Amino acid sequence: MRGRNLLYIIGYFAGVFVLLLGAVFYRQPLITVLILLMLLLPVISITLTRAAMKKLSIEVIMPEGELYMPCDMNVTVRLNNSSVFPLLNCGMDFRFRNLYFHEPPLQELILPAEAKSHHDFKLPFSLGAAGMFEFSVDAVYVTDYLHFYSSRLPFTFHRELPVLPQKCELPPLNLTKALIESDESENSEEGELTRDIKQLREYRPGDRIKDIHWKMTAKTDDVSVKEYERSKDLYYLILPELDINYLQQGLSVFYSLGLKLIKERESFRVAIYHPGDKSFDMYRISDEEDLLQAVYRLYLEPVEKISTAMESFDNQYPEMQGLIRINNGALMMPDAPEIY
Amino acid sequence: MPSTIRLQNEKKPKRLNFAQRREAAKRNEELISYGATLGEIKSDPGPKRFLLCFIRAALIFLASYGMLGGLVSAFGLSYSIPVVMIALFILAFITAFLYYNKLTFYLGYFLIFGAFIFFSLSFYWEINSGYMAFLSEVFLKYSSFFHVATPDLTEVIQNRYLTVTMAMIFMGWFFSILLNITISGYMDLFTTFLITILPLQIAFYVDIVPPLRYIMMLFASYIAVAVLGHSGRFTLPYKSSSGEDFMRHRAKKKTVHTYYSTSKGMLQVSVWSILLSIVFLLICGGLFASDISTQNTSNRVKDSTDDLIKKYLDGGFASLFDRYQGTGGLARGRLGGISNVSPDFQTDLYVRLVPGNFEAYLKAFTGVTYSSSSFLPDYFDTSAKGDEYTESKIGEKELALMDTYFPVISAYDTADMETLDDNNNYVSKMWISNVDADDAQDYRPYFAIESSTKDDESETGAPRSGVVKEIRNKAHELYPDDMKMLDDDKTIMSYAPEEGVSRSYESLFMPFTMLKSFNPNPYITKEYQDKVYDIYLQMPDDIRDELEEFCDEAGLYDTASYYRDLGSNEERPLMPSDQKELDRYFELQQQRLAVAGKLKRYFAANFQYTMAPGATPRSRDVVTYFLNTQKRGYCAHFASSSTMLMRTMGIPARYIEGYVMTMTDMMEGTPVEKSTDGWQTPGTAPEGNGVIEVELTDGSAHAWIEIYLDGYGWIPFEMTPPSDEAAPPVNLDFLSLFSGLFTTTNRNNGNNAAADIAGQISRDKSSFAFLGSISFLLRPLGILLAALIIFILSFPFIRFVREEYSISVYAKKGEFSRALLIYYRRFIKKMLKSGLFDMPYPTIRDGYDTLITVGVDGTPLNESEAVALRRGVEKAAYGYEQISETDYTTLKKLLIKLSGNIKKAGKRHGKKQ
Repeated sequence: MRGRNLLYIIGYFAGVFVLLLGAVFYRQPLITVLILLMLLLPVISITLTRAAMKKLSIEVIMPEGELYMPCDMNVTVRLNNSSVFPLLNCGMDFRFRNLYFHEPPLQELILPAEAKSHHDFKLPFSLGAAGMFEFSVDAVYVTDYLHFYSSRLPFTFHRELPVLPQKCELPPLNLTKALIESDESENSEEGELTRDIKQLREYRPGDRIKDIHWKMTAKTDDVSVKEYERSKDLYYLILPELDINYLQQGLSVFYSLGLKLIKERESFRVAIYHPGDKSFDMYRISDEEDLLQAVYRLYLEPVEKISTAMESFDNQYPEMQGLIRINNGALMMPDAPEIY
Repeated sequence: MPSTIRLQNEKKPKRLNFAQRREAAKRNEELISYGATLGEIKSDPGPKRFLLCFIRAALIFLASYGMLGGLVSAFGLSYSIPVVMIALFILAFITAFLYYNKLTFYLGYFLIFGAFIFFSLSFYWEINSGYMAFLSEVFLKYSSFFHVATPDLTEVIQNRYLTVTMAMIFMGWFFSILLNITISGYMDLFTTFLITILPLQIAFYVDIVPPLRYIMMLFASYIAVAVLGHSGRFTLPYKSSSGEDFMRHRAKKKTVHTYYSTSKGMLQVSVWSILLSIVFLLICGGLFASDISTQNTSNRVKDSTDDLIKKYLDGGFASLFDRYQGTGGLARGRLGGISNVSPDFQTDLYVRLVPGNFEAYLKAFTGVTYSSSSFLPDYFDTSAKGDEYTESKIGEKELALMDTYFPVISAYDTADMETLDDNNNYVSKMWISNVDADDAQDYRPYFAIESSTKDDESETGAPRSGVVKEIRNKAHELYPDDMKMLDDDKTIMSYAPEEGVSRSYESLFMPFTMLKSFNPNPYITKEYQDKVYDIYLQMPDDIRDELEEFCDEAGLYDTASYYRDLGSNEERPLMPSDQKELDRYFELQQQRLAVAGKLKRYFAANFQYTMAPGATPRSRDVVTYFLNTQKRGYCAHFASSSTMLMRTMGIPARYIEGYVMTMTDMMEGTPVEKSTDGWQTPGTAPEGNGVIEVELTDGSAHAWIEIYLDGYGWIPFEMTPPSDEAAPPVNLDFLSLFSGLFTTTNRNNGNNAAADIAGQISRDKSSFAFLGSISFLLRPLGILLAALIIFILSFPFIRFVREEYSISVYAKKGEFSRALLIYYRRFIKKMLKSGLFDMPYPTIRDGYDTLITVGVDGTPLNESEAVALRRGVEKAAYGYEQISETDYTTLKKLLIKLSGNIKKAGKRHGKKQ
């Protein structure tokens, strides 16, 4: 039962009491019958609501595919009431947010579920920023006609929907590929994969599905994975330094640059920074799908007021040269000349 | 970041209104703060505006026609049902569609008001006559119910079928406009209820129940309005200033989006409301209506409103208000101008005396000459020509002197009253202090001689008659010993009046019980008696015929004809000398009292005592209006009318106002002095409890009459019948409403005062007055409770019948799987109830496991049977094809057998425990 219903109930019984006084004073049939009706109505109201609730189904439909800034999209709530009694007070507590922003207040939606019909309610969202858009339904409840009783339905919903940054025009690029020269570099598994298979080995969690050797797997009943030879070629390494003030511009530049490199059939790396432990995850991007994964990953990271990504990167990779930085929403070409 | 925000589904209006601009700004803020904003929510399908208006029209029609049709039918008037129904629906339709859009709203109201005025003027006489026809029927029923006169109303057009129909359309139009505001505009039950229920009170008040179909319509509209209004989903979409389908309320912690309306949902609620009210009233309505209409009970509050209605019926609106102020309804002889006597119960007089077995009547005002609305204290010859009265024929001083001393010698009981031993022949002293009573009056007990510390001749001294010296001298001559008790210095000084007390004085008086002890007065002279007959038979000529007619109807002349036919003063001896004539003479004097007694009984049987009789219309004579029309009133009405009726019969009488100190008042008095020395004649007086002080309020103000008996003088006589009001009269304030809530009285119909008194006594004996007052509620509530219990208990039975019906249908269709699943579900529920499962939702496999391990009664089920059952049920639940009829029959029998064993197992289990 919801707290505000208490007022309704008190008011209701105060009304019944007044009618009762009237009946006692005036001995009037209509007032007497009204009292009886008023006493019965809550029972009827709750009974019918509970009966109809059992035949109420809810569905939340989110848009499919990628969303690009600027973006409008609809979330559809579908109510299907197969009972003969309408439900005029179907409530839904939902939340939406862009993970880069503060959370808006809780949203409550009061909907009608007409009898023997289904009803779509379109919730149009205007998205003003790229980021991870989150939509969740915390509770669905039905209140009876007289607001005496609310009952929750076992329904919750949660979905994250990435909204990709707006593409932007990039200046003429003069990029350099990065080179890591360190003791570990020879043993490192970093480096471009070649088409040459180094070996077949057992599947390990984290392996790509496209690397599974299906024929061998079918023959042996054990999942085998192709391990390719790695080259020691140089590659582009991009470091997005995201801060609050230039977040959207930074994302936009990163995404546009990624697309451009993919279009030029260049494979590149992205260093995604975790401000929490000041560590980096390296992502290898070779197609749009990889790029989207990197962007989504980026969306989940918190954003600093002033980015410390470069500083941390320098500390961890002091020998690194040719890093492509995205700083203050702008692309920064590497200072050092190409080293071959 | 985009510089401008594009709202979802934006209609791109030419110009945004204020609300829209504000909403756009809010969303812009949200977009900046949260990176996302929720736009205008849309429902698919959206509400149909036509349907929304149409449902409103239907609700307005139900409410207006239910009320008007019910009211007119309740009073037995016929009208053209199809014409009125169609007209009212069209009117409801038009008014409801005023809300279709803003243009119709603003323009439509002017048009509809204009048409209303045009219709009213065009059919003015039809509407007026229909209204008069309705009022005539209402007055007829009310007059019959309350036993009051029926006012005459003129119907210009006599065809009631036509005129009532037109009047109903007129009223329907008016109420459609009102209900359109309460229903279409606000969907407010309270105002809708008030607008429709108040007119119906005209019928309900006199226990008339309108036909059930009209009440059903009203109830249907109430329920629909309550549900739609309470849920708050009734607004037309255009009512939203921002033009949206959903209302948005932003708060700090929560933003609420509420839909404005649902046309289909409204329709469904309205249909269900109609069905519910039909079912409910068919079951309950008739039962309670017949039960209550025969109850004919009321309570004090209802009596008060009854009085108001009677007043209105009698004298119109003006009779509800007082024309002058009075003390307890009395105002120095003025009559008929007080609608409702409302005593303030503040002390007017302090009286000290030795209590005894008597009631003290403190006489103040003597009404001599009667005009249409008052008694005057002086004599005027109203029979003289012209409007001016002649001067008094007898001096005031002489009258006062003659009236004052009434030496009582021995008991003389009246013929129709019970004889009592007379032990009242003693002289007592009374001290009176005027606090808040009319200080222009003297308050004297009967048979009294006053004393005062003040100068007798001064204006503030008491009494003011200016004859006190002569009276006192005479008293000293007659009662030298008793007069010693009037010790001014000792008594009055010791009871120094408090601040604000206007006057204090002492009186010597002879306690008496009214109508028990009167004796001939040897001091009455022939001259005095002649003057009494000259003065106290005065009567305005214009009311004489009516009064004589009343005396005829009341049968008073049989015993009083002698007096009417008496001759002149010359023929009337003071006291016959012949013994035979003397006996006849005394007998006739007794008969005067007998006539008064008969009149009093007539009043008690046919008139009603009430403190709220309503003011007499200015144009009517108070006495004749009271006797022939009003038949309700308080002491002043009874006393004034009795005075004039006695005069009509030739008996000298006069109207008296003052205070009555009853024995109850004395019992509640405060003891002030134990010794009665100096307060009453020693030896002859009954032993008392000392001297007490009694506070008399305006609740004790009273009017009575004095009848002149030849040879005896003026005898006070009580003409007011007993009141059936057990408690002091109450004002209609909030608390007094509740004080009368659970005390019932018989309904005052005007002619059952005696029955009321008897009923009051019997009710007082009952200690279940409270239950009695609400007994009419207990029965229907009991029926309701019983019906609810039966309804709840019948759920399993209803479910069983429904399932059996489904099984038979499925079996006929060949859907054996579905039929088997019903049996299986029933079986599993029984197992759950018996506690054979630990989990709340057992699967088919769980059921199988339980059957092969513990069974239903402690013995594991044969495995082949269990497997067959499991496979059969699984196939029925998940298989693409229906199970065969053979399997169905076999498994059904098995399930029924197992279900039976569960019950047995349960019983055994219970016994073991």
